[in-house]
Parts: sequence; structure tokens; C-alpha cells
Amino acid sequence: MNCCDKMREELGPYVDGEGSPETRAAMDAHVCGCADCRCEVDNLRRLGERVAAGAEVCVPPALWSRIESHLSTASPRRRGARLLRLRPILTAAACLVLAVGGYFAVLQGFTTRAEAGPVDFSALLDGLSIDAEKAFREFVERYRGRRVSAAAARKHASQLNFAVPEQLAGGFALQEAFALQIGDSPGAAALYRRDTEFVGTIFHRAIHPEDYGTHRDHPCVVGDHRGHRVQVGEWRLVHVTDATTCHCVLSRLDEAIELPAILHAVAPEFRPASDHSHP
Amino acid sequence: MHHQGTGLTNSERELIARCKRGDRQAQRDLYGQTSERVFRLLTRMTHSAEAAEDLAQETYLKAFAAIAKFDERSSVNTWLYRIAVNEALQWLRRKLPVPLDPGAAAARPDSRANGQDPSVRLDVERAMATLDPIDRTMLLLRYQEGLDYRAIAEVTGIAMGTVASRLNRARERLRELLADFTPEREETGLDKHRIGHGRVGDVGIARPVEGRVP
Repeated sequence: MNCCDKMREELGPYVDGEGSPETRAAMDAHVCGCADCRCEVDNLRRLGERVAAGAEVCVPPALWSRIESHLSTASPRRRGARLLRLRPILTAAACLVLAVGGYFAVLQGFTTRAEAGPVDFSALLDGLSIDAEKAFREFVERYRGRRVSAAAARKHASQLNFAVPEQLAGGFALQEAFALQIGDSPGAAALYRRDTEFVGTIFHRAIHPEDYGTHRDHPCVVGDHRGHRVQVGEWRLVHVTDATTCHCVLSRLDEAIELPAILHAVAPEFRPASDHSHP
Repeated sequence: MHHQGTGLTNSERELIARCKRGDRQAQRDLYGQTSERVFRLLTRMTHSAEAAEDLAQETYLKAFAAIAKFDERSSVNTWLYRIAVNEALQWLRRKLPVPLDPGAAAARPDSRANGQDPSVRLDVERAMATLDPIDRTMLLLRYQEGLDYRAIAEVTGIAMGTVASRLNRARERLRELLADFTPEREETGLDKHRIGHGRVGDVGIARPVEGRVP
């Protein structure tokens, strides 16, 4: 390998103005004395110019009107104003609810356990197109996620059947594990990373129906696992459920190539018997 | 207005704050300041003016719906590019393969094209349309929109350390395609300066490729 071969990978960043001053000075010196690299630098510059010389576009004049017509007629400010006007009524209603609720709670002597509500995935799904990892963390926080070790997460949700391995197929390494509290049921979550790509796993009781907001879910089969999938952009939230546990994997991974091994790793005992589609 | 980097000007902060309060005029102002860039990127990503219009609409609706979550760590353009790129990539996955609509981008006169031969311009558009969507996006963000590597990493979610190699790959692939699309332009002396073995055609200077119809 001659010096130009070594330099070749650096010529693109050099032409793009990237690199430290020291690196650029070294590149300057090399390019100055190397006809081949000077020619390549010229070619790279011209290639960039050709891409940049794209067609001039004219934003459609009616586009803003289209957007404005779809914007909510009740802006946050208007909604806020409406809520302010309704505040006395809302306050009275809240007091009434609390009073009646308290009465029945006392009457029943707190003998009935509160049922855990559905798992609300809408906040997670709504945020995926903006910042998926942030949306995942907000979901974890919403369900009172505590950062714990993988062993502690498994212990916390010992009634569930799941695994939090240190490594997942494809080079994903465990970064964080969480103990969750979903209603009155313990759950768990974990975040894995490969470079900047992340995979999130969530485990919760299988009996809970789930709320996806406006998002639609679809049946899917990943490897041997039958479950369902909700897709937002390039992100997929794939669920497979056994008798006790719903295993949810959030990723951008291909369902046919990378996901099956990961799902198998986090749901190691799960084998589809007949219909394991989510309740 | 910055279109890369992380600092927001005071007027941008004020505009974002008003948008967060649901101020319709502020939303319109933000749209006015950014829509040309967003629409241009979407047009060249999708090669469809109609799709670009729909995706631009979706981009702004999502942006305004989520603007309370905009933490102002990146520039507003970077943030909008990110939403737009996600929308376009999603659309491209559904629509692949992408037919080239010459009316969308390539055939219109371009003041920035510096008198470039329209056929050469069309070659570039055809080659760009054939590229992998991520490669196309990387090239457009770098050369059309002028983003630095850090901003490209923010927009695409690709690790900062791999932006350079991804761009190298995208440039190389584009050169291969340009060589395929322009067999009528014979090799020139410049070609002999290509570095290394197995390199593909020079920019705008193509190797004849048998069996390919431009």
C-alpha cells in the first residue's frame, strides 16, 4: 500500500473541510507534493459541486395553507385559555371525584387492589420520529423506571419470564437495565447499544391490553415468534407474548435478519404453541 | 439563521418560544424561514415534487406538534432536517424503487448550475435517484445543504465517527453510477490519475460500460 492509498480515505474529509488543523496541515503538505492526490482532490470538489448544483425548487404557494388547515384549530394557547375559563368547574369536579372516591375507598376498607391500567405506549410511539432514545427513556421514566443491574431487574420482575443478557446478536451491548412499575405490576426494561444504534427491550405482564394512541398494530412473525408490531417510520415495536410476559423490542432492525436472534435472546423460554398473538 | 452548529440566535430562540406557545404567526415565520431548504431536500431525496409537498406538510405538522420537546441543543434547521429525512426515508421504503421524475428537479433551469449541460445535470439526477437512499441523503446534506459532519450525524442518527466513511462510500457509488450513465463521454487524460486499483470513473468523465443504456 503506497502513501496515496493510505491518504485516499482522508481526502474526502479534507475536501469537506473536516479534520483538526494538524491533520489538515499534514494533508496540505501531502497534496501539495502529490499530483495524483491533487487530481483526486479536484475530482472530489467537482463531484460536490455537481451534487450541489441541484435544481432550483419553488415551494408550492399553497403549501402553507395546507399545513395551516391541518393545524389544530385549538392551539395550545387557546386550549389553555379554555382550561382557565373552565378552571372553577374542573376544580369542583375534581373535589367531587376525590370525595366520592375517598368515600368508597373507606367503605371498602381498601380490600380491593387497584388494577393496573393498560400499558400506554403512545408516548413512546409519538416520540420515535423525533428522538427514539429520548422517547424510550421517557417511557421508562413514566413507569417509574429505576436504573438497576440486569440481575436486579430480573429479580424485581421475577414473576415474568424474560432475560437481560449482557450481549445481543449483532454486537449490541447492554448499557442500562431498569426496574419498572406498571400499575401494580412489576416490569423491566433494558437499553442496548451498537455504536449509535440502540435497541430497547420492555417486559410487562401479559394480561395487560396496550394503548397505542393513534398508532396501528399489525400481526407479525419474527423467527419462531408470533406477535404483533407497531411501526413508526423506521422504528418497530415488536411484541411477543407468552402465558406470563409480553416481550417488547424497539429497534430499527430487520425483522427477517437481526430481530429473530434478539427476540430469542430476551424471550429464551418462549416457543409458540398455537396462537400467541397478544391479548 | 444558522443551519448547522448548535447555537441559536436570540431571534431564533424568541421565534421558537412563540411557536411553543402556539403562536400561529410565529409558526408561519418559522415555515417561511425554513421551507425552501426543507422542500428542496425532500424534492431531491424523493425525486417527486408531489411527494415532497406531502412530506413537507407532514414534516411541519410533526414539528409543530412536537416543538415543546425541541431542546434547542441543535439548530432549528438541523431539527427540521431530521424530521424531514425520517419522513422521506419512510416514504422511500414504501415506494422503492424510485422513479425519476425529471420535472421534479432535473429538468428545471437552475441558477446555481453555472451553465451546466442539462444532459450532464440529468445524469447527476439519474445517478442520485439510483443511489441508496441513505447515501443520497448524506450527499445532499453535505453538498446541497452544506452541513458539516457533526450536523449530518445529528440529522441521520449515524455515528459521528462513521459519517466520513459513509460519505466516502456514497461518493464512490455516485461516481460509479455517473460512469455508467455517461458512456458517450469518453475517458480523458484525467482518468489516468485515478488513485489505486479498480477505481471507477472520474467526475463527469465516464468509462464506457458495455450493455448499459444511459
